[in-house]
Amino acid sequence: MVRRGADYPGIGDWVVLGLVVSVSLALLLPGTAFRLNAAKLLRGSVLYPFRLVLFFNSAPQEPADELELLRYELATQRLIDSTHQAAMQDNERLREQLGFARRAQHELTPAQIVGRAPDRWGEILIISRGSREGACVGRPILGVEGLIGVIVSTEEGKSWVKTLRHGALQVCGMLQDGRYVGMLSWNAAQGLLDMEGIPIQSQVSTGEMVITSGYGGVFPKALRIGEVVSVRDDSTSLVKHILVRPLVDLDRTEEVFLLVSGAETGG
Amino acid sequence: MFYLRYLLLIFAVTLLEATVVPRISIGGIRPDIGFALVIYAGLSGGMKGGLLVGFVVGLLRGCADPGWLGLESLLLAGVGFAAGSTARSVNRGNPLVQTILLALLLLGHDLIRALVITSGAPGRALLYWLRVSPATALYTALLVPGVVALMPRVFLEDWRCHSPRK
Repeated sequence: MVRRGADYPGIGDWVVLGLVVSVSLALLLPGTAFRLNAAKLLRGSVLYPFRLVLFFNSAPQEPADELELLRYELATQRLIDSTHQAAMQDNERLREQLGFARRAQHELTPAQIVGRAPDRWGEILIISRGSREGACVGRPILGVEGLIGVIVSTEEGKSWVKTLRHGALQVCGMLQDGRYVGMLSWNAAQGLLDMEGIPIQSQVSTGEMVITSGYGGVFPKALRIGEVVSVRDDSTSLVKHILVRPLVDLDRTEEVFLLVSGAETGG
Repeated sequence: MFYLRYLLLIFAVTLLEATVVPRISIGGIRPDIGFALVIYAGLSGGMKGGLLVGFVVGLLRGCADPGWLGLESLLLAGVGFAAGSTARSVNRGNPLVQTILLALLLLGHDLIRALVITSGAPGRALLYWLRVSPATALYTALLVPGVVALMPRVFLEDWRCHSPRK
């Protein structure tokens, strides 16, 4: 390598730097609501041409054929099933307290995946339902088998979904049998979810189902997330090292479901 | 001409990131070709070029995850500026120089990003960073300079004009 001497920035460089830093900070520092609106505005204006590049898939279609209807019914039934299982366990434990676990009926709205946003920190999907169809930031998105992620941005006719495969998404999960609660986050190196915070003395076995805990209010309780594939005790730690395989294979998923209502009532 | 070329390259990279890049991921790790493009914009177009290309690429990424809109545009603009500031002081046509620059800037960028996203919690930030960044830096730094070497005129159009005299 032959050095030629440093290149010092000129006035023009400093002016552009100042402008870029100012605009970035102006976008970053206000609240989340401002950033969501700004993103919507940018996508619809100066960055519009890039949308044409991103939405390379075919136009979204209504789930009219039999296969899609069956998938919809299957997803609905599995959701009801997982909710009922949790309700039964609650009932067994809390049978003295009548009415403790009345749950709201979940409603699913089908949607198609119409694009994938480039983000190496994880997978962000673009789906064919937007604010017009009841999608809003924070709504959970499900696949036929279980939880996929959460909506992070929405506009008319489209929503952006941060999936379980995104490093910045953390989901509070619960072992369905053991009832221990831990945080799930994507481990890209393993291609699995790490479950942290499960005490070392707990009994956890591979194959055990992990569901949402309902803590935090983002995801309703008892949505299926994945199953435990590895449990390791670390002698230097007070918690177990648990790996969870998500039930939904995102590489092969074409249709998803928007959970329109899912809050618990009562108790 | 530089900006038009890089605008088209941003289109191409955006399309590749949404289609091809997920298919060539190894163990969930994928090369960050958008980041590499910012580096090459800095090497080719100097500080101003790197800044502006970094800002646009960052803005695009921010729109996909608007919870942090502005962060990526700020960081990538900084990366472009840093790459641009080294453009004349190193032999930018040398793939080894590009590899080292890419890896170092990607690791630095990711560390700052991890610290911001985890609200300054160093333990969590380090874990978050370790899971993705070193492997991504290695993959990107090994893959991209090789591809660029096949078509240097597209990415480093004027590097021959500015290459240092021996």
